[in-house]
Amino acid sequence: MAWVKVYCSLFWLLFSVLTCLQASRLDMGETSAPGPGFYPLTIGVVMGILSLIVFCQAIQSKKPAEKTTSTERIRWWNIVVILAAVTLYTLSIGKIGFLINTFLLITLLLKVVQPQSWKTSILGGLITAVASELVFNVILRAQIPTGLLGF
Amino acid sequence: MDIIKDLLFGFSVATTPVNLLYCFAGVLVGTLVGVLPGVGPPAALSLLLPVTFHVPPVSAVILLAGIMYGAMYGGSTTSILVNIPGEAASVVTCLDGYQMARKGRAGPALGISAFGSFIAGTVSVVLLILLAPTLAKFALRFGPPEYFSLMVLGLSILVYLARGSIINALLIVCLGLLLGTVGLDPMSGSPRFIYKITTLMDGIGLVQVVIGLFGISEVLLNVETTFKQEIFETKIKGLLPNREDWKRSIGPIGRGTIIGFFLGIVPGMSVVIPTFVSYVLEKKLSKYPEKFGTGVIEGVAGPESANNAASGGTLVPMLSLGIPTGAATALLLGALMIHGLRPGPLLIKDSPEVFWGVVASLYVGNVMLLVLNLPLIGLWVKILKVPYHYLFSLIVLFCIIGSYVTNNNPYDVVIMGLFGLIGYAMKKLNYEAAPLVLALVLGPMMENALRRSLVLSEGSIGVFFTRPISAFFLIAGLLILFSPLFLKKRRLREDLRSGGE
Amino acid sequence: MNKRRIQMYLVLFLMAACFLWAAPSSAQDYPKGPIQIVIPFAPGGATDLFWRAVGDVLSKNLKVTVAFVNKAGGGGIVGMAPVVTSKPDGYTLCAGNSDTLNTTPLFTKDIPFDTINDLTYICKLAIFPQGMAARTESPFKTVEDVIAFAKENPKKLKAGVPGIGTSPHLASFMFNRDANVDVTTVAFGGGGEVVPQILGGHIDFAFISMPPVKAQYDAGKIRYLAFFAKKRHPLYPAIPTAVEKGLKRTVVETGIGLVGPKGLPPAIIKRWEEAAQQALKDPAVIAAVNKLDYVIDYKSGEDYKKEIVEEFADFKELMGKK
Repeated sequence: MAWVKVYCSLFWLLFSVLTCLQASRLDMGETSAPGPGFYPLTIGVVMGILSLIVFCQAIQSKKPAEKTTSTERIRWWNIVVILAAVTLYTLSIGKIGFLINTFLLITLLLKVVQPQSWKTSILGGLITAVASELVFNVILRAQIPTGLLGF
Repeated sequence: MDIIKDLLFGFSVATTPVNLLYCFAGVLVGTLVGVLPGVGPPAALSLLLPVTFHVPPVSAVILLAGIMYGAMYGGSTTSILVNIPGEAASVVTCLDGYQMARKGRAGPALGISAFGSFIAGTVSVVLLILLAPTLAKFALRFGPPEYFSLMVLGLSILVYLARGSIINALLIVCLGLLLGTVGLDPMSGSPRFIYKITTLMDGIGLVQVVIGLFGISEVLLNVETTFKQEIFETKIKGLLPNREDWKRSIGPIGRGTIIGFFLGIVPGMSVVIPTFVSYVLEKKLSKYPEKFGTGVIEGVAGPESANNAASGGTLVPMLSLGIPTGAATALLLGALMIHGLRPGPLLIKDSPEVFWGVVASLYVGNVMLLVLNLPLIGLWVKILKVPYHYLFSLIVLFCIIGSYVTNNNPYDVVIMGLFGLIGYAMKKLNYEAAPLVLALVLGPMMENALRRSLVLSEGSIGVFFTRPISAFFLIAGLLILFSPLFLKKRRLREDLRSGGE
Repeated sequence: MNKRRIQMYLVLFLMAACFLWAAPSSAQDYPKGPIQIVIPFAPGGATDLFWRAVGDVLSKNLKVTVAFVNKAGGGGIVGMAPVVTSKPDGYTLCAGNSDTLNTTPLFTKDIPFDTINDLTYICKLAIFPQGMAARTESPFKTVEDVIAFAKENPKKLKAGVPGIGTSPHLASFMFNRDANVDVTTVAFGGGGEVVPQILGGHIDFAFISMPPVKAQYDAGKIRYLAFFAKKRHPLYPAIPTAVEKGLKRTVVETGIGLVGPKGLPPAIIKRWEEAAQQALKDPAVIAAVNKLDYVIDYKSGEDYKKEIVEEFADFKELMGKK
């Protein structure tokens, strides 16, 4: 059994069931005026059929699971950090402002993901933040929020 | 001939030193802004619209047209260099362009992109001049049934887009279609899949999805291991396309131009669709279709030409009928209106210097873009030499800014991040992202067209077959969709059995 | 060690310099800094164009930068929502049209705020009336033609509207009610999508305001059958009103106004009312407004709110009947 495929197909199956459930709550309308639920329901059904096909294939498959191509340890932490940084940056930009936030973001990314020295990180962060502020907020007037301190 | 006289007149307007300056400024700013991920012509135009208020009308339009083309071109640059589509229409360029860059062939990719865009842009201006009124009339024959059938055709070509398992691609297409339904239903006002999140009322932003799915996921993929291997091959193999490249690209450029222009004429046709069509066509016509997606120059030449030709095409209804065909032309139209100009049937009569001046400046703009961008290729290629451990942080920053700037909405960035994660998972599990983008673009259009058609026909499905244009597209689409079943039964049966591993 | 210390101080100094350089200016009366106005519609649309044309002059009057930001979606709701929750200090306002305030709530459920009570109404600047348009080749040359046909053939006529929850959509209900007919509406995505459908004959006619069809009207390709206004449009004296034709209550004049978060101090409202009145007298503004086919109609904050509330009650009754 190709385990990965089995799990994937089950995921799709679950997704399609949920979709159909949610879609059926919406108005279906009539043939002369189809409602909002008609289209999502149809797609949900199609998705369900496809996922069943994949499921059957996966169960019958005789190929062994793929070996990971790289023998190095995957650095999950990097991924988490990047996503978390993006989220934090977004949520705090209203309060902290573009300049400082950009500085913090770049410094953090440089320091954590592929560790640079403190000097490089801070310097990189500073240059990038100031340059970006100039280009985006001043020259292009892109109206990225300026935050509490007015910038 | 009258047209030649008018055109010369237009050129005289467009090439006054002042207007040349405006054209150059527009093209320059447009390119720079367009390089930002997610910032394409609509965003660039709306950012810079206020600047045009204080400028005389003809110059303002020249400026804006320059920005539009420049942004279009800038978008291709990031697609090729860092796999982040500059705007949704550049998604297809990422597929092969980025792979070319990784092999050290960023120069030729950028070069053929520039030349292809130039050729397509020039040809589409010529076609625009010659055919505008006729084409505009043709464009008017597109009612909801025609749109639906065209969309079915569009989706059917997805069958050929997939490199790996067809069923996987179909699943992703379903996902894309579903994502397109999120938001307020435009036909009934009912909220669908919004769950009280206000940002979702307008649906899931295409730009944010594209940036996340391609840009962020690529970054995530690259950082999951230490950067021992070079992301980019450091030895740059030449800065411009060589003879071999040209030989292979001429066909795609020609075909891309035609596809792009004629599809672009249809009001409301997104510029994204012609690029997909061109890509799939080139893949189908090529002697080595399995190489598409690994860095084949035809995969860049065709779509890039289609891209620019479509932009030219969208101007046809705008200039001759005064109908906006998309976000970019809506902005152009608005700008013209503020200056007291009304594009439409009367524009040629009332303000010939505007109409012909704009047309001429489109051509001038194309030339300027080429002249401007070719030397820049050397510069862009150097960017790739920046060590990845610094470059990636810049990429992330630009992705964030690009996602934010379209709507000034921080939650759009969250969506980008989410799709970055989804894209990463998809890449690990062998699902392709391109079909999702096409489905996200086509889905809403298809659904709306279907429902409107049924309202207009009061429930009769025959309407799709009784109208000639619609019947043509629909039958073509169904044939393409189901032809594998008849012609290549064996391949599909194998695929069904083994899942196309 | 010393060198590193110096470098660190240098960095700190640079950061401090940045802080100081960007510090806000000293206090004065309102407005003392740039004002951000959210336009809850896409750039290039009718509402957006109006505000940008007026914005320049308003900026001059208020002596500060007025920065417009587009946040489209949900018929105006997506852009208005953040303004509702912002600080009522007059620096974040929302420039939209009346649709969002009294029409969208009738069609969209789950709006996260109350459009009447959660906002401060600042002033109204202009209106643009809705109406009906058909292509010149159409057999319908007057409003009477349409009504006559519709009476004989219920549900057969297809009228396009730019969207659900827009004024033209509301106008379609009013038309059906007052003319006692049953015309089917087909919703599209904005005026831009409706125009080719009219021209191509895919729909019989459309409920739509003048600006999207003006180019066609001037070229003689589209006939504008009537305005849904109380009086004839000053720029188009030849076009009748629906009221004249016997549809006494079919009046839909979409207003364009400014709103802010609840609890805005009266002094700020007054300042805006003054600035708006001044701006509306400026010949550049009048010219721009006319180019866009709007009709200037100033109302103070209080009057604007009263009007919206009245219209809302009217519309509710209209929809309740359906």
